[in-house]
Amino acid sequence: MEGRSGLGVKGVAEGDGRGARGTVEARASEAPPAAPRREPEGVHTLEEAAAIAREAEAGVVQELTINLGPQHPSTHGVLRVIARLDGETVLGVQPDIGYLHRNWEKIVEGWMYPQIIPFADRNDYISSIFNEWLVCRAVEEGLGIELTERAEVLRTIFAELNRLISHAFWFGTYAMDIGAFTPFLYALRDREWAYDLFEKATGARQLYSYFRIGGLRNDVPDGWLRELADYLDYFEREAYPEYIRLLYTNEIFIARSEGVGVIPKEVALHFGATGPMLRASGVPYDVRRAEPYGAYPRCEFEIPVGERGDNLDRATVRVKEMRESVRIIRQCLSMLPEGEVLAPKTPRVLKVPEGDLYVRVESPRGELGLWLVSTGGLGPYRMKWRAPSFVNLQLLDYMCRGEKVADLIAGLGTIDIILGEVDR
Amino acid sequence: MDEERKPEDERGERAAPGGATRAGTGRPERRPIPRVAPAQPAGPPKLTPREEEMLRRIQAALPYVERDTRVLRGLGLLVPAERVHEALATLKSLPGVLCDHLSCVSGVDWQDAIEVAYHLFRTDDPEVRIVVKARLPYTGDEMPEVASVVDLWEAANWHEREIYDLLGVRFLGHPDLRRILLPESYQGGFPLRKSFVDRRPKRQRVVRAR
Repeated sequence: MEGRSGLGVKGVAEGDGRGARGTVEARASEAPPAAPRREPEGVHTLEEAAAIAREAEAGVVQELTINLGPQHPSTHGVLRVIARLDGETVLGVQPDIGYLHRNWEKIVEGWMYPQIIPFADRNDYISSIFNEWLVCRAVEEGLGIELTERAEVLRTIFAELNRLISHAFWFGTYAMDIGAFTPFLYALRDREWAYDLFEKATGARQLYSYFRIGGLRNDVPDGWLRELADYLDYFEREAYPEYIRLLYTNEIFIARSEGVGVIPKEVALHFGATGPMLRASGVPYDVRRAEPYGAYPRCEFEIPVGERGDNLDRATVRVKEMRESVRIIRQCLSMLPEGEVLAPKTPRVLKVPEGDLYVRVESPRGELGLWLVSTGGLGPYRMKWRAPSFVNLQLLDYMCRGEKVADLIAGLGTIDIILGEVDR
Repeated sequence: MDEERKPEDERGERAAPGGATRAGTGRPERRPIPRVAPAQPAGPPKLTPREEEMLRRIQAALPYVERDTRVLRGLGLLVPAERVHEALATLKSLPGVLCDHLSCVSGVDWQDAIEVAYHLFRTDDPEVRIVVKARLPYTGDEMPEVASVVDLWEAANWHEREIYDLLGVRFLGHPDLRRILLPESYQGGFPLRKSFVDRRPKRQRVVRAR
């Protein structure tokens, strides 16, 4: 019976020690004779069951360990969470990561810097512009390459557009995590136009390889900027109010998010949280402000900050950041100068001088850092990728203790992890 | 960029006008690609006045701290391996420095020693950018040891596990030092060490950096 329920294949016999996947016979008559039925382990006698019931009534914790994932859709990829439960209450969780590990830090050690850019894209595949920006910035800072103004502003536009759709995607998946399906469809619908815009400029919808060391691969096509302005108008007039209406007038959304998964300010700093996770706890820390790069020093924007650090605050911070992204892109569009997009003095052979360099950009998930150790060669001697989701995921245990199992899923949703980046 | 757009024979990479050929191949000699020297500053990178002041303060409190001139941006500090915990605890509480954000812990293998680096920032003062480094000498397959800083910053927990997993450094006092990215049963050594041998089937190699 167990074999059949596991695979849904008729005639699978057990008892040869190879488990249900070992052999699949086409006909039941071909199967070896089934092993005699064993008494299943872990079933209690009536006396034991009565004792357990008495203990439960007396308030004794009945600890149960369950596995969430790695193939469960609510884990946003291949993440396994080992949860210790008492009934519906979470006693503690232990994320088990590494299912997507490919050790790309080692792989790129022998590569030349321009070769690294497309591979870096694969880390955070929802917002890959930030990965390539980070690699380009590290090499540019090491070599002292000055970008043209048009390249800086265009890079900022692309990054903010990517942040916009990354947050929109997060909004859809979080809504799905707490039981609402429709917002997911709306979020994907609005992301589609932005992907078309990316495709027109870069040739790819998700993994762009568009930034080059010293600027951009090509200028945007004719009419692209006008279409971008149309998209921003659409987003601000139709999509954004719809998101607000869908969520913030929804009683279930508020009830499921408010006061759940609270992270105080000190704890967030202690755990090294960054991005919306940290800002929702009330620390106005943003790499775009702390270490301005691109066109951000010339843009006016707010850094949304939460108060309590619960799921609702994290959602609000992200939703507000969408609006700030629109604002930044509008300012960039008005200041965009004419000119080249690739710095004319970019050397043809890129050798970062000996030394090491820690560069950061603000990705939608937090502080994306790169520690580049160079020995003066054509490629890095060592490259450490500081992935924001990797660090933020450590907080899952803290957030979920004492909450219900369903809030564990919601908490995982508000951390906004990308497993490609967590496992690297 | 004009050089890029010239026709091929003018670039000199093919068909050199002298007709010189590479020995034995019969193909025209290839002129070396012009190498542009990077804008490398002479001497160690300069510190800002604020960083110099911080360095003075730190050295007054911790006399064994030296400046690391390999660090191209921010303030680099070198501490002896057995003083790492003390140095980081001091940087967390020293007035005028007060780092509150441990951004990253990482390590690099220099063949004779593993260097661990701690990247520290301060959330309300962007000028505080400190890198603390310690060299842990080792030979062969042994695992060097250093004190864990998880009690100062929980953020170091997974970073230290990752270094333990991939570089083979034992962090003393770590609450839960287990493999994190590789499977528990992995026997192939430490992938981020330079002595690591990739046992997968070989594919065509890309140009290796020197």
